[in-house]
Amino acid sequence: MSSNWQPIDSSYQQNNGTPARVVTMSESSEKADDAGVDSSPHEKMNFFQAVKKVQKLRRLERQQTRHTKSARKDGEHAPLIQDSRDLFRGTEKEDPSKPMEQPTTLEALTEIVLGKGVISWCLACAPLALVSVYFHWGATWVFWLNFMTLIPFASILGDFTEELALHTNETIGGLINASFGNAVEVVVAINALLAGEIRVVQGSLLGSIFSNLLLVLGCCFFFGGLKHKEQKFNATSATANMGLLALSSIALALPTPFAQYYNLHDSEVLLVSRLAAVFLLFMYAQLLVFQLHTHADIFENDGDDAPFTRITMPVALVGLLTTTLLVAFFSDFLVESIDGFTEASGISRTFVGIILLPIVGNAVEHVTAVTVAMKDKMDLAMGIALGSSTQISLLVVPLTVLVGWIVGVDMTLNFPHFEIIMYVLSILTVSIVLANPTCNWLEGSLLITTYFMIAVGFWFEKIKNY
Amino acid sequence: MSDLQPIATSSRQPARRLVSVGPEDDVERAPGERMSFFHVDYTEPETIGDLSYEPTTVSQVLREIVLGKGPISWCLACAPFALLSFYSQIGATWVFWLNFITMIPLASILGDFTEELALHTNDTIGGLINASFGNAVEVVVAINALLAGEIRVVQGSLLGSIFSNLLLVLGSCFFFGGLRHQEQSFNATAASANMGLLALSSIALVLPTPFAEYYELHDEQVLMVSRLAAVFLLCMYAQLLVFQLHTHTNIFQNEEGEDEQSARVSMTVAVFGLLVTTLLVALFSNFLVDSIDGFTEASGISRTFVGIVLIPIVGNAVEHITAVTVAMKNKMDLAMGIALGSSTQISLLVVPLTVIVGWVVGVDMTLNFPHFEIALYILSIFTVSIVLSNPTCNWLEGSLLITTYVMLAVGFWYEKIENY
Repeated sequence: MSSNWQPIDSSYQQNNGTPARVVTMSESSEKADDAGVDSSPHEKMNFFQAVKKVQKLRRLERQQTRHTKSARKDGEHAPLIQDSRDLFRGTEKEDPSKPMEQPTTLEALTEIVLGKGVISWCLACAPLALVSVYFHWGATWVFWLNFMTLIPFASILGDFTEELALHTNETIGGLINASFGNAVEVVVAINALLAGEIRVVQGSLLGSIFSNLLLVLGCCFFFGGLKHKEQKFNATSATANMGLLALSSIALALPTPFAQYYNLHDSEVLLVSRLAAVFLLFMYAQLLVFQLHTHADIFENDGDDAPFTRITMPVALVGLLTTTLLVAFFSDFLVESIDGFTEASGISRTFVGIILLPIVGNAVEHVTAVTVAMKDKMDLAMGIALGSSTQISLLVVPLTVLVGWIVGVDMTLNFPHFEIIMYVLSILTVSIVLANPTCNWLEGSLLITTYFMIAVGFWFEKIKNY
Repeated sequence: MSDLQPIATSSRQPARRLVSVGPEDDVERAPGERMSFFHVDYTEPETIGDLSYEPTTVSQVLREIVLGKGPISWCLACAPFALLSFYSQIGATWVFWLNFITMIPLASILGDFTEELALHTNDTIGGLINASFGNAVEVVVAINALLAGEIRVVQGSLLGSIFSNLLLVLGSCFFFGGLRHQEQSFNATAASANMGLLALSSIALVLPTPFAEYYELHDEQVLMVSRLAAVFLLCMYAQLLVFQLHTHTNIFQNEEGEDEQSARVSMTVAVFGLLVTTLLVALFSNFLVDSIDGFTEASGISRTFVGIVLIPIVGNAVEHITAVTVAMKNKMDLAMGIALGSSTQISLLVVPLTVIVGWVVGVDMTLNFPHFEIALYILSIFTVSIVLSNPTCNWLEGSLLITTYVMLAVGFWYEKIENY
């Protein structure tokens, strides 16, 4: 088991102060200013840039601690990476001329799988989860054990995605992150879809958006605000994200009134849903083009930082595929146990889908975002939270509709009114909160309270046949 | 009785030192200061009449508080008639209107006593006192109606108070201020914090309502959801107070060293006056609420309209005038603090309070409002937040908000909910 230098890890971990590169970023945004482009002293942090920044800082941190360890061991100095000076916690300056150590594949894999402290302990549930399924321990045990098992897998999946992205250039790397950033949500949703559990699919996706938008963002503002009186963030990227979420809310509202107010056949509702899904995917593609191609130069350029990868590309690919298969495997058990779990425990299916399932995909991301916010990097934290909700609403939700189309399952965007209303109101609340480019703990508490009130509402929601 | 103070000073909040942000055309203003929602001070305004006259004895001060408000104080003459009308058989319409008019000056006097009491304490407790008693009249009317079992009136009066503050008062401030000054600016942070909290309260209102309609939930479950939501809202209000009075007081800093305004009456007198006025308000609002039944039948005005449009006037009329006067003096932050702060108080404190009181007393008060009213509530918040997104304002935005209110009132005029 590795040492404690990686407390809680995920794809987006960041430990210490801002490297000097960020200064370059605001300089480039000031140049963008001269070009008449809207910018602010704060980093324009879209989701992919946020992911890349955390990846880079985490790499630098790992390099440093590895150097520290080796330096402690044999007394020689490892090179100091210039802009990660702030990352060092009081360690001595080191000689920049020596090359860095490359960990062996085995070391790296051990790091990825087991080096995450408490989160990695959850992996111990994996064999228990298998046993519970094959020995029929009861739906409640199966549910919770598979639940606990999936949480570290989300983190490991993120690591392999990051490693793979490092082997490619900026654009493809951004693309990979954009696609696999919410891989766990995709896998769980498709599993539930194939099992015909439409309510669970809808619930888990909507719940993921609620969780990112209200809970994660609220915790970032709250805990960050407890530490720093007032924090600023870039309002432009926040507004862009909110605009896209508003678009997705219209897409969700589209088929629902049809099913209720007019006498449309189910096939027409399906068709409307599928067309809306196509439009949303098209919008997502344009978002990618915007962030990775046409307006990529507004964002930070990593050109002169040689990517430090721990494992080779084939290993990363194999690791990615293996982890995805494992996630699919365990989430299959999870989805199958939902029926029995809801009966045995009395918890409503909606609550399971909207509140419980998203924890699997979001828990680690949540901790990272809050940690980052407390380090006064609010743009980064918001990039993670808002970017994730945008991804789910623009990519994962329409993807499930299309997969359902292909497979022959009638998955529509026909959500219950109540959930649509909550969705729209949440977006409204968040956009009001984000209108002012400073935040404080009260706004964070407001968002968290909103989430809890919605959770209370869903606790009592029992939809029999939908 | 000479006019010792213009009407403007009889605000619900303490009327002493003014701090606000705005163009430097008023010498009393300190640069860069903003004001809080509750602990609002403003400089001793220009008095109409003899500037050197200062009431000194307790009786003089009391006379000033009770009678020194011009036309508003004349309304007190209705008080004996209101009492008479209730005990006579003169008809519900008379009872309603006489008690209505009587309560308007009482609201103003209550505000003065609250202010006096707050001056005897430090900034924090004073802010707390203002935060609790700022909308005392609305609380008293709501609880009276609650105890009488008039749930629709309770809901209507609270929602109507929020509409009135958010649209009518704010709109009038922008409008009349904008007629005087071409463009006025205000502090966006405070405005956005308030709007965020109002949006939160709108979610709380939406929460139980669809339940009653879309799913076959028992009434107890709707009640339970309402009560839980009410607890959440009260927690949020407590946090708002902590935010304003403790952790972020520097945003709402008061002027230093301008403390020449001290309380005019002793603390005992202030407490006594506060209690007496509250009892009087309770008495007259009791008559008012009792007469609503007969009044709606006799006049044909819908109960909803009475609750949403008419009753809030009682609590808001004086506040309204104050806010507009202050806005015309180019102290827009102060005016907005009065308007927005009042709506936030009602939605986060008074509404959940009535639900909890109903819980205690055994009345089934829920947050289950009619769909129409919830939809209008949300749309109003949306409209106001759009207007406030730009930290400057003008008369057109004010007129926009006032028009929204009038359109809502027209809608409510025709709304007749039989059994709710």
